[in-house]
Amino acid sequence: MAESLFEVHDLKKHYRVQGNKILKAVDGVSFHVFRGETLGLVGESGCGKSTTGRLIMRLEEPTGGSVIFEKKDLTALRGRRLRSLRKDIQIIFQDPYSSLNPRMTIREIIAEPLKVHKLAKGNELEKKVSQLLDYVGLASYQANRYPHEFSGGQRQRVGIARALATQPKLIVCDEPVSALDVSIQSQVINLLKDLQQEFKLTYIFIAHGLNVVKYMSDRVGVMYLGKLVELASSESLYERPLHPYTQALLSAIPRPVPGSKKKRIILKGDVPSPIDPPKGCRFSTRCFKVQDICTSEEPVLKEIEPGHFCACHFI
Amino acid sequence: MADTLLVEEIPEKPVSGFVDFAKRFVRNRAALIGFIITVILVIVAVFAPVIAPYDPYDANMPMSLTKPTAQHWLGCDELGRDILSRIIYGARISLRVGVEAVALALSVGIVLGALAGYFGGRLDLIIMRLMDIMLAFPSILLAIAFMAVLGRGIENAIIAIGIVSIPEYARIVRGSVLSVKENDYVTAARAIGNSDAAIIFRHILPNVMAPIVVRATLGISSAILDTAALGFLGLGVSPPTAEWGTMLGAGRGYVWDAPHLLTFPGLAITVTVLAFNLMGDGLRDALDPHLR
Repeated sequence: MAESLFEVHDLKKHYRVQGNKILKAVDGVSFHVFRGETLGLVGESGCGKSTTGRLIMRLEEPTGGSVIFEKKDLTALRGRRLRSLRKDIQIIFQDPYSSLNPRMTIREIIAEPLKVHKLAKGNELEKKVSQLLDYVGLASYQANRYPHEFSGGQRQRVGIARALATQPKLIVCDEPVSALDVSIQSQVINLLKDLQQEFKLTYIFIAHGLNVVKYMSDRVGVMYLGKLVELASSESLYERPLHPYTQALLSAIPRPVPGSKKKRIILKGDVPSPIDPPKGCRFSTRCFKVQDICTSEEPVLKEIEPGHFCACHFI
Repeated sequence: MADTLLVEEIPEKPVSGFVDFAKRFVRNRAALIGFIITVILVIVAVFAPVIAPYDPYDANMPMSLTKPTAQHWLGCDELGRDILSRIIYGARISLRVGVEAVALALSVGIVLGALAGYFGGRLDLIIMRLMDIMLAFPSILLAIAFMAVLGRGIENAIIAIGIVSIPEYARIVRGSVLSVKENDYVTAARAIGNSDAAIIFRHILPNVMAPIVVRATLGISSAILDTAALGFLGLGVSPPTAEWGTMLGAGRGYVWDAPHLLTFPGLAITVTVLAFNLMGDGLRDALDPHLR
């Protein structure tokens, strides 16, 4: 697992908003992803995890930083060369209702990436489409139907089949199950896991459900207000969270053990606006360990234990 | 993948979108009447030489200003030409100008609106300000100016009326594109590796068709009105071509002595415009996703 498939360096996305202010949605995020692993990204709404996913996909233009995918800098690619690289990186969306074109049949939706990249045509195309439907657990007789005839879970499977069509190396899963029923969630999660094994896929798994992320991911990155605050292997992060924010986040997981004594850490206040983030550590306004240094100096992400990174002055 | 079971059921025979739409359209009585009148108008226009009882250009001075009789159901005009025949032939002009002007305005309007809506930014600003400038003039005034430059004739009328209605379509298309492009399937189309052109034509435009179809139907009626207005002002098709607006213009001197010269062409315009408006309203109700 030592080989890294791609690296993100100091990725930034700033939006100019009303009143000429600058909203820093993602502000200097760096990490790398190993071939074949699942990297989970968690955080509250608005922490920049989805934006990070979109930046990696080059669906949005980064303000700064670089994304190195197999030694190529994605941020420098344009036009045709970028489009041809897109077959290696695919995305699965959160909302299965808006992610499928209502005017196209399931067959057309799944065949489109193959046609765009000229990977198959004619009979071979037909065969590949039914194969893809089979992978995700749909029957090929359903291919001539339109998305509105399917349920949310089935639509999500179609979205997964579309993402698989070009045999990508990396799939960004942008909250792929948070819009689904709990019973369907586990089906889709297991499907994603099976497909990962079968096709040696690498996932970036973006979610806010901590249990789902734990189940899916090899390593997990925790984001807060556009920054990565902690990054570690799944076991290490869930067993020994270092960053105060991660500790608070994990303490919010309901425990199914009656009478369990684990104390819940309640944070005060709300997430500050990313337009005017606090000076120093971004978490300083809500942290229960806050000291003077936190409001003046920004902590950097450093390796505390092998493979366990954390951005806090007191760790 | 065998452990992921599929338990959801799919209806055996799905209701097609078109059948659903047709049912709702037919249930709307006014829309149905509009549709039937339109069909009759089209038949009349196509078979005008067969249906018309007289040659619409055959002047017959002794019959000048004849009131409606058994021979001439709608009477004769100032040159003794049969008004019914002229109205029947006039349907050809009105429908042709209506449809072709809208087609011209639509094709340019869709392209401009889609570019403005999809790319946004400076391009959007330039295109839409240009459209605003055109909208600032009363459309008939602008059409008159174009006719003055281009000269009379049915093709020029089509061009003039087509050009002045571009902004309406550009605005509608832009608005719809702006809302449709926020859908994840548009992002997905980009993630797959589609070019911008493919995204616009394959993924966005098919999903903005409903409001455009409605607007185009209503647009035909206003194009017909504009043609008549140009004809009335003596700027439309050149006489002696049988055209409803021109007939009104020619007959306005006889309004007291022979009111049928104005009444019948006027009625033809009214009924046609009404038919298209009823049909357009019906289409909007039947296609409107909010009622679903």
